[in-house]
This record gives sequence, structure tokens and C-alpha cells, in this order.
Amino acid sequence: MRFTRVVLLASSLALAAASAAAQQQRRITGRVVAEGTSEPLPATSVVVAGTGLGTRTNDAGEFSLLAPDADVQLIARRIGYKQQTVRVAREQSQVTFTLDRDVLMLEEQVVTGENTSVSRRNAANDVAVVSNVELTRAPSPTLENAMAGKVAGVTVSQNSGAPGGGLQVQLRGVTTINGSTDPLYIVDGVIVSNDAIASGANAITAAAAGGNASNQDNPVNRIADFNPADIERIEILKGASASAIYGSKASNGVIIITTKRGSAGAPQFSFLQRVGTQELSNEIGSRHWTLPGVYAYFGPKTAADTARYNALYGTGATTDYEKLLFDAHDPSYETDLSARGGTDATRYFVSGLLKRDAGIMSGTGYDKQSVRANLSQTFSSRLNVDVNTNFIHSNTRRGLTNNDNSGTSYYMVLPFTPSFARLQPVNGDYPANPFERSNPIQTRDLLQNVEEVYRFTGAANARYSVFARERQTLELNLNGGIDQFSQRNDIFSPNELLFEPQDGLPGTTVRGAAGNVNSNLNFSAVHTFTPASGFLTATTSAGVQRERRDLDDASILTRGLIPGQRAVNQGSSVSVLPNRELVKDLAFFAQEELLTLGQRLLVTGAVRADRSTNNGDINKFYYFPKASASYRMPAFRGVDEAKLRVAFGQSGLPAIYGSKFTSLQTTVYDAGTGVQTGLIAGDPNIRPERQTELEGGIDLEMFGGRSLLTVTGYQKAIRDLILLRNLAPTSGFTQQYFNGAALRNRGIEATVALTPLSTTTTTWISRATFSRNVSVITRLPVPPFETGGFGANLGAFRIEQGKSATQIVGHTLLSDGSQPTVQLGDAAPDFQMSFSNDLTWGAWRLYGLVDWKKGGDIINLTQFLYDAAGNSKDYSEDPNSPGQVRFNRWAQGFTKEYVQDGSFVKVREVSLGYTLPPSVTHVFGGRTRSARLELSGRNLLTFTPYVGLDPEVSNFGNQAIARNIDVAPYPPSRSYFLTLNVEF
Amino acid sequence: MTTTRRARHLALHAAGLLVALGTVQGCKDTLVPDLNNPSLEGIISNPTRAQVQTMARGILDGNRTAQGGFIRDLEIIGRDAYNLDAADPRWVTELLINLDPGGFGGRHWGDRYRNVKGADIMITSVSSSGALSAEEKSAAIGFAQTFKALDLLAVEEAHDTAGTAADASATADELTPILCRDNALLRISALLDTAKTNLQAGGAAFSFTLPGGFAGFDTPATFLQFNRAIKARAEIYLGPTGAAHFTNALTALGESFVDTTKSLDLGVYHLYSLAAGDQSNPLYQDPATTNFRAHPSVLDSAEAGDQRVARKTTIGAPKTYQGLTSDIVFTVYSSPTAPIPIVRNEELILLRAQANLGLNNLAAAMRDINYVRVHSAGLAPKQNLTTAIQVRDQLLHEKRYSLLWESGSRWVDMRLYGLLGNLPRDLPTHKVHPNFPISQDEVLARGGSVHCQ
Repeated sequence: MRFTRVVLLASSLALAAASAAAQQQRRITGRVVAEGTSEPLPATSVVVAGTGLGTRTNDAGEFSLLAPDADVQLIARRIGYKQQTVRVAREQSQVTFTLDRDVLMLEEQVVTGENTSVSRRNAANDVAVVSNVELTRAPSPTLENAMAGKVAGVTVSQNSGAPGGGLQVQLRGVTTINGSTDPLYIVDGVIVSNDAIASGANAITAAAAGGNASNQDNPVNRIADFNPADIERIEILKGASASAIYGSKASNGVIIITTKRGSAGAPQFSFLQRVGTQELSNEIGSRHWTLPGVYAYFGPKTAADTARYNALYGTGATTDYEKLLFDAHDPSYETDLSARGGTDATRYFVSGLLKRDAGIMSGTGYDKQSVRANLSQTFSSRLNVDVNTNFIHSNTRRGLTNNDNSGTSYYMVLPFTPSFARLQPVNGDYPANPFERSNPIQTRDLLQNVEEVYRFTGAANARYSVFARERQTLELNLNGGIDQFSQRNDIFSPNELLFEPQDGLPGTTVRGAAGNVNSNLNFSAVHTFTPASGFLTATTSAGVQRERRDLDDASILTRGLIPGQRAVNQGSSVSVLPNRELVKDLAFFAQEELLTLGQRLLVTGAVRADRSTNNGDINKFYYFPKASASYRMPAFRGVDEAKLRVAFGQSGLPAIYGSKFTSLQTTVYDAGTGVQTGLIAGDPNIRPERQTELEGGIDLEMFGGRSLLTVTGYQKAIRDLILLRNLAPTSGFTQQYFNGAALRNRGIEATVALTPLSTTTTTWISRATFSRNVSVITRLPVPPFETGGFGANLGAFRIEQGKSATQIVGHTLLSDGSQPTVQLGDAAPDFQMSFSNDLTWGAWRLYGLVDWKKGGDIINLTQFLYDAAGNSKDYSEDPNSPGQVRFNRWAQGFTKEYVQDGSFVKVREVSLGYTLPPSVTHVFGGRTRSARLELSGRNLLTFTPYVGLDPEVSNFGNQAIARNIDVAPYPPSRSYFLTLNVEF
Repeated sequence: MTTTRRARHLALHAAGLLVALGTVQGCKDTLVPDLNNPSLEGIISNPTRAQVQTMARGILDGNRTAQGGFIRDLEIIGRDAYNLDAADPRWVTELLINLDPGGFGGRHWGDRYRNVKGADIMITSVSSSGALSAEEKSAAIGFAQTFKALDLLAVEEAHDTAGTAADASATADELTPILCRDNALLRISALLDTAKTNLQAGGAAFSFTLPGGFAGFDTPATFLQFNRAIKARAEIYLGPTGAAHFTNALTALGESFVDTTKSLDLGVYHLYSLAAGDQSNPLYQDPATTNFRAHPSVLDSAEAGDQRVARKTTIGAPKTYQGLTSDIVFTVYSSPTAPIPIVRNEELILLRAQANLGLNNLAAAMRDINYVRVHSAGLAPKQNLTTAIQVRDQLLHEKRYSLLWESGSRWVDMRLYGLLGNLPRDLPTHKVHPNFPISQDEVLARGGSVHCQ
């Protein structure tokens, strides 16, 4: 491996040079205060420009650091303030910084490479940053909820209302057809898992044939584990032009999460207590049945039959089973305690979380405990080491939802259960449901579906400054870490459940055990060079990365349990469903950034080379280049500064795991095992999918930094999309993986941030985002095919050249009696917007976030089920009742009836905060710095023409294409919290 | 800088270098095998004895998987049976009206070639085995070739004049030629002879065990009797191209297990069970609710007192679907674990009659026909049939009832004698298909049209 050797040689030469150039050092001390108020600013980073030397200020805003024995430039940076650079002459040892507030975050640093960053002012990409403040203004069940509606081009959608997560994050449209939909998540340099491992509930629901774990189990994707309160900031690289430095894993975008760090000084504590509750926010409702209606629908033919329906109807007394099932208001709470502090040499941040989100159905909920310890140690002026560790435990209970074929999932049973049915337990006995195979009250009370996760994420990052001279610096970075979790699923469906005898084997238990270890090790070198003229700064970085991912998953399914037993060996039919995935990757990258013309022009070029065991050729490196430029234009007519930017880059999506293998299939015959060729042939030449993105935009800073407008246009062209093609059956196989299709996304994003008011007592920050994305399949070397859904009759997604990647097709009836399959809708919205306002007035703070999605169709099969059962709210014996009309038209061949508009406006987050006056905060002790009370709510209001439970829905979980299929989801809730936050 | 500091720096640098080396080392450990399934690469060369066993069992299971649906569909087209399954109208609209090459019409193609491919893999693999003796290799190859021929013969029976691909293709891009009927049969017959040579050189025992349904036919020498039984079928199909083929069929039957002194059920069977991963009998459904019904002509055409009818059918509740009604339920299989014959003595006796009929040895043919009438049907022998046509019709009658719901032979035989027009059509829209079309995927992969050669 020649390239490896060159990198090694270069770095060892650099090390040698550094040893020779031992330097004298001196100490500089000083203070950092805020402009106007002269308040000391703690936790401000102060660094010697062009070196790795630096520190943070203490509570009094004071700092002390070592600097080269020469004239130096010191830079002070603090989130929320504009950075300041001060020249400190060789003989000067005292300095004071006065920082201006930066309410619109114009100057924050954004990532450009593995260990490089640049001020947002210069960035050539629209890199979105979500700060801790933005994440935690309102309580959120999981991390993804906290990102929803905050960044243009980032679509965060719930798959259901179940507690504990299960959300899809999509950046700038559809990026694959069959591949993974996950963005790459990086926490403190470690690639963390976002696997969604099915619970195995399919053993009960039979949603997928054959009893295999299926993606209709409403799984949680594991990024939900991380605690938003621990997060300092999230940077989002939305497409290949920004994410190319992450190479073959970055086609779905990259989400870089940085957790909080310690700072020198006395320990500072932050204590947060939230208490709240939640309620069902929407109901479907059901038909008001009359006795003639019962006769008309159920059509009793004999006198005995009529008598039976008369008895079932009784007095016609009704029960609202939705309300009955989803009417829990148990308390939810969150307790978060953190401390940061330390000495100049050793700094720490530690935090602990206790959280419970109760579900709106009794027996469901989400409990999480998390402990984090982040340590930073300065070993010498050259060597800094950060160690971050996080331990998480969660316990999730989500009940039995989504599609089934067994009459068990709550909203699969409710459509067929008229409101006059009497299902409430009598003396502990659950009556059989005369209309379906199960009694949902009994299922709720007796069926257990528990998921338990233990997770450890640890990262260590060492930065070594080889030399730091006036014109040149060289820093080496070594970053390594692991992300390990074990997930246990435990489903127990006892014998007495009314649906259990169906398969002749009453009593079912599923025990799933999955373990995953991600590990990675990165080594990089960053060299900066500023010639004497100061004309430019050249930052050169290069590095190598190794990654390993190992998922081992097995579940044991036992049927026919001995009554009362739940161990997997206590049944008559035992089967095991194993799956293992092991991936090893290696990558090299090199990047050059030139900042010149008085820091106005930034030009970047980079290339990354990746190889992976997922690819057909495991030794082949795939190259992903990147180039970008930005130019800041000086002030003109009310515009303080305008930045023009353009960026080009390529990134990839790994070949689908196992798609290179031509596997054999195991069979059993006469108590012996045999092997046969599998149905699907692998492609020994399979390679990553490749995205090429071109992004351009303009950023306008106006009215003295009080307004920022960002407009970005992009085109993402993705080729080598992995497909399955049909083979000649005489080849011995039916299908084969291959790289073939191409698609394109074009879109526009805009963000406006304003500070209409900004005085010492009042600040009003208002933001709006807009995004629109249009996709089209540009190349499809196989005939159009349907993906996801339940066939064209019930609405399906179809991949077809020249059409939107997310088009929904279905049957329609033409006048000549033919029933062609035609496009009926599109899951992609016309556009999305969000509006947030944050008003601080003295001690009061009012904040709100509204999310608006226009368009985007949903296949509403939950309504289809209600209609099919004659039980919709608007269904009656009148053939002109809307429910009957819908169903009859569908039966005639119009699938369109159930392809419905999913537009919505949601009030996502609202909070009203009050900072207690010092006279009151003394209650909490003399050291109290501040105390705040807050009343907040999430998903308080939804305005939508959609008649299902929630327009955010996905029966099949996270999906590249086939989201927006509504089959019996867990219903949505709104939640309210009261929060006390004390800093001391 | 003091010496200790310098040393510390050097140590740090050395550590940094080691780490850097560690980061990039491991270029050699990148191979990740298929961790979930056995891989083709794992068995394709130098297999162990156990691997040869799993390949053999895979081929047996592949043949078993294809056989159930094959018998069912051919019996429906041959008007012995209906499948009145309301969940899928195509059992009627395709099998009795229009076969869709992309739907039910394409079904008896891919599974068979998948199994042929499995046999090819076993032949290639076994040849390189160090674990097997030369005799064991020869026996294993003879076994695989026999099953390959059996699967190809099923393709030929279903597709006839549409053509049969000569072999599974080595790669998806180099497809083998589609052979016309006679050429396909000649190739199958020759393949059975190659298998015979290999079995004869195969020593006393296979290196692997065969399932219980092969009891009595599980050594190379006795398995050869099974091979010859299949050979006899192929040669009889070739009969119309030259009388020598009927002679070949008689020769092959002489080397098979045909025997009027033994049980008519003597033969080779596929077994079924309810064990995890195993298959249950696909031709069995609970008699109370079964959708599998005998065609009304099964009773209408039966001779009074035919014990085969009593053994194989009973009267149940009538079932009606798409204008077809039948109350005749099959009792051929008593449970979901009942075995299904691949070939048995009764068929061989009738094949011998068929070969003799082809050679115009009518008396010899009638001897065998009457043997079956007496011993299987419990009927009196037929005495005064004197013309070839009369003997043929009697043969077809006996074969229908002897092999009812256990072979697709009725349709194949009626076609062989040009008598498809005699099969009853229940409704005016119904047709009797002469053959299955070649699967749509195969046709598309060959550029949209196929011509046999």
C-alpha cells in the first residue's frame, strides 16, 4: 500500500522536525467581558492564532495561557458572541477582550473536514448548526424530535406516536432506492449506530408472511438513545458537496454531534426538573350504529342470526374504544443534573439523566437513564486529550401496533369492532370480541412487548501540536472510539389471550438479543501555513480512518407454551432467526483550504478514498472528490456583507450488506439438512452508490448584523443505485443485485433570521425556513417496479423512469372498463416551512415553533379498514354516505379514494419561561446563579385535511421511498411540561 | 529541553507512529465471508463428505419442492382435478382458460433449472473432492445426473413443443440453447445413459445417505433401477420418432424394478414431515375444507367397482367457484406427511404395456394392462380388445386411474397420442392447453422471443 507509506513517511518527518524546533514559551493572562454590560464571560475559548495552544476562561472571565515567545495573535471565541482577535506584542503579558453579542450566530465555526473548521462567515456550504439552546427549548422525547422543523432541508418525520422514538431524518430528498436511509451519525468523532432492529412482534401480528422479523414492527432507530441535554451542538451536512470528506458513507448526509466539554473553574451545576403529562391528540372516531344499520351491514339471514345481532346490539349503548384504550395520563418526568469545572490542566463535564415518557396507553412508555463523563486533560502545551464516555439504559414499551394478519394490533381490531360491542372485562374475564379475533383491552393488559437497551459510547481524542510557529503550525490528531449496544426484546403473549389459539399453538414468546459494536480509529495531520506577506492561510490536512461495524442479532420464537411459562424452551415449536453483519472499512483523505484576499475568498479541494468489505472488490479504493469556493463581498446598500458560495462534491452509499454474495439456502429433508442455490444472485462487482452534488447560494448579512438571509440551490445526481434485475431462470436464479439506476434531486432552501428587537432587556429573534425538493428517476435499466405498500390496488410506490421517485400509483377505472395502474399522488411535499420566534423580555421568555408541510400524499389504509368494516364515522346505511361512497368507488377500481393529502401545520414547540429574581433564587442556596421556571408543550396543535390519526406516519418504519403508508399506527399525543432549571 | 523531556517527546512520537501504523495496518484482514448463509464458494471445490451429503439432499429437496405443484397443475389441465380456491381466481382463469407466461404459465421452469443448477454445482464440486474415492465420486455424479435428467424431463413434459433449455446456464449472460421437443428428449435420454455409466462405476455404496423414500434404491446398483425407470419414460415419449425407442424403453424397463411379483407400490417416494424447516405434503388438504377436488369426469368415466376410485376419492360437500362444481374429494394422501411417489411399480407395468403397444405387441400390452386391472382395480381382465386403438384407449384409462393425483401423466399421454381434444371442457370459454409457455423472464432475457432448435 504505497499511499499509506507516503502518509507515514510525511508524518514521521514532521515529527522529527518538531523535535528539533523546541521553542521558548511565555505566559499571557487576561479577561473576557461582554460589550455593554461588562459582565465577565466564563467558558470562553482563548487560543493563540495558528497554534493548538489555548484555554477557556473561568467564572470571572479570566484566563491564563502559554504562548510562543514572540508577537502573537490571540483569538477569543464564545458561542453567542462575535469572536475577537487581539495582537499581543512579545513584551505584553496582559490583555482584555470585549465581545459583542452574536444573536444570529454569524460567526460560529462550522466543520469543513475531519479536524478542520471555518467561521460560518466563510463557509462554502450551507452547513446547518443546531445549538444546545435550540435543542432544549422544549422537552423532546428523543433527539430527532428536538431537530424537527429547525433546519431547512432536514425533514424529521415520526413513524408513529409511540413513546421512545422511531423517526426518520431525511436530508434533501430521496437518495437511494434499496439502500440504507440513515444519515451518518458521528458523536465526538465516533460513527454511532442508528440501527432499527425489529422487535419480533411479527410473530404475533403475522404482518409479514412466514413469521420472520419484519419492518412493520414499529422499531426504534437507535439514535434515539442519546440525551439532547448533553449535546453542545449538531452540525448537519446535507449533501455530497459538504459531506464528501466522509466518502462512501455520506450520501444520506452527515450529522455531526459534539457533546459538552468541561471548563476551568469552580464546579458549576445545572439542575433541571421537568414534570408533565400527555394526552391523545387525535381520534379517528367510528360509526354511530342503528339497529337497521346493523341489519343492513351484517345481513342476518335466519331468525337465529337476527336474534344474535339483536343481542349484540342490546340497548345500543356505545363505548369509545379509542378513548378507552388511549386514555392514560401517567406523569412523565425528566431529571437532568450536570456539572462542569476543573483546573487549567484538567476539565470535566459530567451529567446524569433520569427520564420517563409515559404512553397514552397504559402499559406503554419509555424510560431512560444516561450518565456522561467528558474529561479534557492538557498534558503539556502541546498535547491535549479529551475522553468522552456515555452510558445509557433504556426500556421501551410500545404495545402492538401497525399492520397485522392476525386480528391483534389495536387499530387493526378497532375498525372491525362496532361501538356497541361490549369488551370491558367483567370480574377479570375479558369477553371474546364477536367481531374480531382479539379483545384489544385484553391485549393491552396482558401482552408484553419490552425492549431493553444498554449502550456505551466512548471516544478519546488526542491533539498534539508538533510545532506552532508564527507562519506554520502542524497538529496531529488521533481519534478513536467505540459505540456498543445490546438490545433485548422480550415479547410474551400468554395462552389466555383470545387470539392465541389461531395457529393451534397457544402462547407465544419471542426473545431477541442483538449486540452491535462500532469502532473506529482516525489519524490526521493538519498543517497551516501563512506566508510573511499574510496574503493567505493555507490549511492542509490529511488522514486515515478505519471503521468496523459488527451486528449480531438472533431471536428465538417459541409457540405452544406450557400455560404460565414464558421461557423459550417451554413450548412445542421453537425456531431461531439469526442475522449477522460485519463490515470493515478503510479510508484516506487529503484536503487543502486556502483563505485569502483578506479572509474574503475561501477555496477548498479535497479527495477521499474508501474501501469496504461490503463492496465486491474489497481491495479497491473508490475516490470521492470535493471542491468549493466562497467569496465575501464588502458592504453595499444596507447589506453589511454578501457571500457567494459554490460547492461541488461526491459521496457514496455503501453497497447493500450481502449483495455481493451468492448465497446458498439451507433446507431440511427427512431430518437432514441440504443446500440449494438461493433465489437471488449476488453481484461480485457491486460497488457503492455515488452521489454528485452541486450547491450554490448567497448569504446576505444586513442591518448591522440583525438580519441574515441564506438562499441555497442544489442538484444531487445519484448514480449506480443498487437494484434487483430479473434473470433468465435457466441461470438458476430469479434475480440479481446490480448497480444501475440513477435519480436526481433538485431543490431550493432559504432561511431568514431577524432580530426585530434587540435591547439590553428585550431580544426578539425570529426565524423562518423554506425548502422544496423535486426528485426524478433519470435512469432505470429494468422495467418499472412497485416497491412498498400492498399492491397497486391499495396504493403502492412505483419506481419509473422520468417520474418522481416517490410517486404513488394505483388503479383507476376508465370508461372502456379497463383498469390501468396510474400515478395518483406523490409522498414528497410541495414544500416545507417552519417559523420560530424567541422573545426575551426581562425575566420572561416566550418561544414557539410551527412546522408546515404543504402537500405530500399518504396511503390511508386505516380509513380503508374502517370503511371495509362499515364502521367509519361518516359511514351509514345510506348508500350516499361518504364512507360507503369511498369504499364502493374503491371497489369499482378507484384506488385514489385512499391516496390522501397529508399537508399539515403543527405547533411543535411552545414554551414560556420566567427567570426567578435573585431574591427568590436564594431559596436554592447562596451559590445559585440563576433559576428559571418554564411551561412548555410539544405537538400542541395540528391542522390538517388528513383524516387519519396523524399525517406523520410510516407503517414500514424508516423507508427510502415507501413512507406515508398508514396502517393502524400508535396514535399521536400532545404533551405538557413544567420545568425548573437551576444553575449553581 | 532536558534529556528526560527529550526522551518523553521521542516516546510520544514513537507512540504516535505506532498508532498511525496501527490505523492503517490490517490491509490483510478485510475478507468478510458470508456470515449468514453457506456460500457457493465454500462448496464449489474440494467438498468434504458432509458437504457432498448436503448438496445431494439439496437436490432431492429441490426436486420435491417442484414436484407437488407440477402434479397439481398438470392434473388440473388434464381434467383430473380442480383447485377451487376463492382467494386466487387464476387456478381457473389461467389453468383452464389462458396461461400467462408471467403468471401461472411461467411456473414449471425456474424451480427446475434452479435444481439443475444445483446438480451442475454438485457435479463440478464432487469432481474435485479429495475426501471421496474415485468410485464414490462416480456414484455421486451419476446420482446428480439422474436428478438433473428427471428435472429436465419434467420441463419437457410441461413445455413440450415450446422447447426445453438444454441445461442451466453457467452464467446469467451465456444462456444455453432452447431445444425442440425431440432434441430435448434425446438429450435427456443420453444424460440418463451417462448417469448409468457413472453409477455402474460407482462401487457398492454412495458416500451419502438418501432419504427413507429411496429405501431399496439407495446404492449405486439399485439407484440405477430408478434411473432406468426414468429412462423408460423418456424413450416412450420419443417413440413417435422411431420404433427403436420403444425397444429402448423395454430394455430400460428390463433393467428397472418393474416386477409383477412385487407390490404395485414398490418404488421411489418423496417424504414429508411437520418438523421445523421440512415440508408437508402439498397435495394434501383437510378433506372437510379442501379446495382440491376431482373433476366430475373421474366418476363419470369410472367402471363400476373400480377399487382405485374408492381408494383415491370420496364424496364430500360440494364446492362451487367460477361456474365449476365438484363434491369429489381426493383421499390419495391421508395426511400432511403422506409420501408422494416419484415412480412406482404400477406405472412401470403400464409403461411396459405402452412400449409394447408402440411395437404392436398387443398381447404383451394387454397382459400388463390386465395385471393392473386385476391387482389394482379389482376388475376383471379385458379379453376381446384386438385393435391398437382399443388397447391404447384401455391403457389410457388404466393409467388415468392408477396414477390419479400422483403424476401429471394423463395430460402428457393424451398429448402424446394427439387426443387433447377429447379432454372435457366444462364451459365454452375453457381451453385445453397443449403446453406451458416458456416463462416470461426467460423470454425477456433472450430478447423477447424464443425459437427452439
